[in-house]
Amino acid sequence: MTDLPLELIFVVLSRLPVKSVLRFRCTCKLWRSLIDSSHFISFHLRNSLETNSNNLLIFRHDSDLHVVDFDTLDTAVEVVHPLMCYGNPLKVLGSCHGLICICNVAEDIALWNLSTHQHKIIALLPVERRPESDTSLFAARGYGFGYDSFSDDYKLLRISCFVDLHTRSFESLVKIYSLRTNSWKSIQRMPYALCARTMGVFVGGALHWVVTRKLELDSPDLIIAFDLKHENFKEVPLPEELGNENNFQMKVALLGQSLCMLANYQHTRVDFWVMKEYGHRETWCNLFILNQSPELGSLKSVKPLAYSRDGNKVFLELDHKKLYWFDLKNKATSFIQIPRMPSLIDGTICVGSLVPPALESKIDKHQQELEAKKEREAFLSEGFKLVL
Amino acid sequence: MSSSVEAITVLSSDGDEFKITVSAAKLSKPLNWMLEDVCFSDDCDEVPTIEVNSKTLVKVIEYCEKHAPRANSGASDSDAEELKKWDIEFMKMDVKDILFHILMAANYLHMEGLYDLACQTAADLMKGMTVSQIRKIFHIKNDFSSEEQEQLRRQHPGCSFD
Repeated sequence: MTDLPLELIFVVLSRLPVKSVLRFRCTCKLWRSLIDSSHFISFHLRNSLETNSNNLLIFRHDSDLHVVDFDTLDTAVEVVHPLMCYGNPLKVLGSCHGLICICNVAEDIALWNLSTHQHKIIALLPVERRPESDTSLFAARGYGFGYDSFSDDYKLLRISCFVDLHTRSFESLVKIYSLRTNSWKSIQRMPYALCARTMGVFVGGALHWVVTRKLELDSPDLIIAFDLKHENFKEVPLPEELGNENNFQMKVALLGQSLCMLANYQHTRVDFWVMKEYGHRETWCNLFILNQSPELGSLKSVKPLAYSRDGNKVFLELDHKKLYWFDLKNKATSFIQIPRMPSLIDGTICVGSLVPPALESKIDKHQQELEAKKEREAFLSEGFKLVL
Repeated sequence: MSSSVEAITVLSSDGDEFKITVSAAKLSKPLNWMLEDVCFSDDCDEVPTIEVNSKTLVKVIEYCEKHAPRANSGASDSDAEELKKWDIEFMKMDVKDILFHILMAANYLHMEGLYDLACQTAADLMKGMTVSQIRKIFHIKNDFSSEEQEQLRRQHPGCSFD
């Protein structure tokens, strides 16, 4: 009969779902301080990401959010989010490390961890208006949310794209919010126009969108990456195999930990390309092809959400209302019905984590680590000995 | 070490002797170091002691012998599947009584595969437990003051403090 050393308790706890970990905060003071430590929070997150576990599927339906445990796909549960919606739709601007960035019609933006129910309202940023707004103007806004490991900071990017339909010119203004400084700042303009108001895809320390250089019909689309560390834009080279082909509609998505590019050929066929090693053009590979079929219908809107835990299947959302597994081995699709799922869905995958929507200052962190170390040593000296 | 040695003898912390094949012992880094050292040469009478009790060591050796062929030669998908099923059966054991001992032994013997398997098994067993069950297993006393309990109850509705 032996007790487990604290080091091993730490490792075992880090493999538990967020729900269980939060419950076990009530065990004793030592466990609570262990679970609350930033070291544990990042260890738990890393473990979830590496083992592709603890994933949550979030469906937005008008102003409501519904959550499903992706590991079990049992029942959709409505969750209470921190924003007032006044009957208008809620927008999901992005998600990273268990933090979801949401926005209401009044442009209030909240950073929210739905597992711990902690949230933070982000400082309001007035919406830009171009001064000479006398001509026919059309504006599109795109957001993206991600993590900059270099400065240990979460950042939200807003691209406001103003299009003049008469002269076919555009202007893309860019603002960036840093959680560490809790403020917005303007950065260089983006020399591209957004092709859709989709959320930026966070992969490899950068946010990605599909853009165009010129507002001409024959101007090809391309993928742009915004590097969160250097805060600049660069183009992502497309798979060499595509050559100059541009008879498809392009979309970007996150699949697993990789950047995924969807090439949609007239809604009849969609090629899923995955960049296996981020930043290396030669690692683009055609993962699979989805063809139109009587069961699937027209492939107007297709979105990959995640790999299955064993990596053999891909979870797909079709036309914002149907969910399928695509088996990579036998190329078969199977329809998935989740009890109590809303009829119209806008799915996002998000890892369940303990990450708080706030950053502690570096001094606090150091102080906390010292205290945690003291507490641990006191505990170990009380009669715990590692058998070695 | 003489190349003719196919199995080595070790002592458990209870003083019992155990035989383990060389290929199985290679799954543990410390045992591997001992093999490369002089510990098991023919002219050495001393039997090394492993600080793991007999009951646990039996299981650890069983795991090593099962996994050694695959670790040494690689395996096909069907072998891997079969081994996965075997692992699940192998891990059907009491948490307190033996699983924690196996976890500690795997940690001490630097056996990555077994360590990973034992951690995950422990986590899977614990995830549905109540706080009281956890306290019982880990011999933990509730040291929260009544105010703190009140606060925790608000943060985590439905948690018991008995």
